[in-house]
Amino acid sequence: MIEMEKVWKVYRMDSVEVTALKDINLRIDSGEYISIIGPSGSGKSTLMNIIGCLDKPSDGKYMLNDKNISDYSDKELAHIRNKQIGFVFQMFNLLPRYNAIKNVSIPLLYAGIEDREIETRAKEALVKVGLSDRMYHRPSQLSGGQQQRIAIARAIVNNPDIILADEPTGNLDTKSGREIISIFKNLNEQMKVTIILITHDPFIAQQANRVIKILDGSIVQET
Amino acid sequence: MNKLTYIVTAFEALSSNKMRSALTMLGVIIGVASVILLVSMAEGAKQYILEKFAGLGTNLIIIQPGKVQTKGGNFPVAGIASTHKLTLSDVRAIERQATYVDGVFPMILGALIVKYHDAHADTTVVGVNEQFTRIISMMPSIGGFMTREESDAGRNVCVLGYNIWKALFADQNPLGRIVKLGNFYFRVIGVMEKKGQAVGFDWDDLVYVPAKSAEKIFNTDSLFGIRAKAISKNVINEAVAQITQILKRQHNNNEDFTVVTQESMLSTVDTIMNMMTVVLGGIAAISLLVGGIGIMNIMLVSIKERTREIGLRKAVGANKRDILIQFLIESATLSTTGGIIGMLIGIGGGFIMQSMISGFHISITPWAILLSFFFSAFVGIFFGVYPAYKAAQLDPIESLRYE
Repeated sequence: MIEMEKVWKVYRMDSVEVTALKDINLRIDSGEYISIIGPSGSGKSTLMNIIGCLDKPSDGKYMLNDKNISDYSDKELAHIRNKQIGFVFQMFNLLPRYNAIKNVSIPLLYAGIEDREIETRAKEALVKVGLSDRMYHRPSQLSGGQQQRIAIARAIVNNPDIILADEPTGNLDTKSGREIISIFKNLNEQMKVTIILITHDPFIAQQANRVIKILDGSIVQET
Repeated sequence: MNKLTYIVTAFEALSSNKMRSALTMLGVIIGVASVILLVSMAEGAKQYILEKFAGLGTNLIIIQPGKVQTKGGNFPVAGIASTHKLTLSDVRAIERQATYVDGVFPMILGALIVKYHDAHADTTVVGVNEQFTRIISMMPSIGGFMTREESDAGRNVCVLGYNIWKALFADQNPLGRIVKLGNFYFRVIGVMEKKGQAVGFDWDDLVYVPAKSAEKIFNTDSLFGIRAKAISKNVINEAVAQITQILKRQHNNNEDFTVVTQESMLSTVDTIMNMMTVVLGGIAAISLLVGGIGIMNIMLVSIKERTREIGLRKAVGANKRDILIQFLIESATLSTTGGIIGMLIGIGGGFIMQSMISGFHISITPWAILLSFFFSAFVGIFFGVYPAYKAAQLDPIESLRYE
C-alpha cells in the first residue's frame, strides 16, 4: 500500500541545502506493524511526514494505495490525511478546552459526517481505547496515558488505513507506554490497521513485525 | 464542516477566554453604541426643530422686510439692507390681489409688561389680524379670537397666551376683563390653547392684539413681517411669485423685501441637521474602526497561541479554507456580538437619557441601527481576513512543533 521509489527530501535553509532523506526505497504492505528507529536528526520524522502526506518529497515517487500523490494539491492531501491516515503525536496535541468526545470528533468535522453520527462514532472510538468512563473529561483532568489514548481514539475515529505514531510513548512512564503499545498491537491484529511507529526505545521497536533503522537520511537496516 | 459547526466552534473558542473576548468586543460595543446614540440625538434634534417649524402652519410663506442674498432662504435680519419697510397697506394689497393666497396676516412684535390689578407678566405683544388662527392652525380655548371688524378698526381687544392667563388670572375666567398693555387698556376676549415652546420662544407667553392696535402701542407703522398661506402646496411657488410682484409694485419696483417659503427654510434646516448627523455618526464610526483594529490585534495573538491547534486540525484533515473560515467566523462573531450588545446599549441609553433629561429628544432611526450593525459585522470580517489568512497559510509540520 505504501511504495517509495528513490525518494529524496532536501530543505533549503537560507543558502544551505540540508538533505533530510537520501534515495529512500520502501514498501509497506497493508496490515503491517512497523517500527522506524534512528537517532534525532536522522530523518525519521521527515519520512513520517511524507508518508503522512504532511510533506511532499523533493524528488522520487510516493505511491499510496496505488496513487501517485507526489503532485497532489494541498486540498487533496488534506482529504487523504482525513480519510486514510491517523496521527498520534508525542505531545498528544489535544485541545485543552474540549472534552474527550469533542477532541476525538475533530477529524469527523472535516469529513462531512452528519452531526448526529459524529458523537456516536467518537464514543465508539473512545470505548475501543478503554476510555468509556472518561468521555466527558478534559485533557487536564486526565493522566498522560489517558490523554494519549484520547489521541489514539482521535486517530482511529475515521477508520484510517494507516496510523502514524511519532514517539507516542516519549512523554509517558514505562507502564503507560506499554499500555499504549498494546493498544496499537490490538488495533493492528484485530482491525488490520497498518501501524507505523517511530521510537527511540529498542524494546518498543522490537514489538513490531519489522524494524527499519534510519541513519543520516538513509535506510541502513531492515529486520 | 457545516455552517453551524463553524459557528459552534467559534463560540467555543471565544468562550474559552471570556475576559479577552469581552474586552475585545468592548471596542465594537462602544463604537456601535455611540453611533446609534449620537445619530439618534442628532435625528431627534432635527425632528424636534422641523416639528416646531411645521407647527407654524402648512404652505406658509414668509415675507420679511429687507433683501438678503441667500440661496437657501434663511431669515433675513430685519433692517440689514432695507430702506423700505413693510406696512399694513402691503398686507391689504396681497389680500386683494394675490389669487394663489388663501390668507395673510401682518406681524408687529414688541416686548411689554402686561398688568391686571397687582398681577403682571413679561410678554411679547403680537399684532396680527383675524386670519391668524386659520393660517397658523391655533385656536382659542376660552372665548374667541379677534373679528375682522375688530382687526380692521384696531379695537383694544386682546387674546392671552396660556401662561399669561395663568399668571394674571390664575384659573379665573378672564373674558371681559381689562388688562393694561403699555399705556393702553385692552379687553380680554379669549385665551389661546396651550401650545408650548417653539424655536426660540414660547407661544404661551404671547398676547395677541389687532395689528392696528399694536401700531398704536409701539407707535410704529412698520411690520416685523407678513405671513401668507398658499391655497395649496402645488401653487406655493406661484404664490411666492405673485406676492413678490404685488409688493414690488407697492414699493415702486424696489425688491426691498424677501419672500421665502417655509418649505425652503425647512430644507435648509434639514440640510444642516443632516450634515450634523453625518459628522456625529462619522466620529462615532471612527471608534468602531478602532474596535476593528482591536479585533485584528487579538486575532493575531490568538492565532499565535493556537498554532499547534491549527497544525493539529490540518494534520487530521482541515484544508486552508476550513481554517480561514474558522477564524473569520471567530472575528465576525466577536464583532457582531459586540454589535448587538452595542445596539442594545445605544438604544437603551438613548431612552434612559430621554427620560432623565427633560427637553432631550432622541429619534432612534432604523437605518442607524442597521448601518452600525452591518458596519460592525463588516469590520469584524475585514479585520479578520488578514489574521485568518495567516492562520490558513501555516505549515502543519512547523505548527505541530511550535512551542
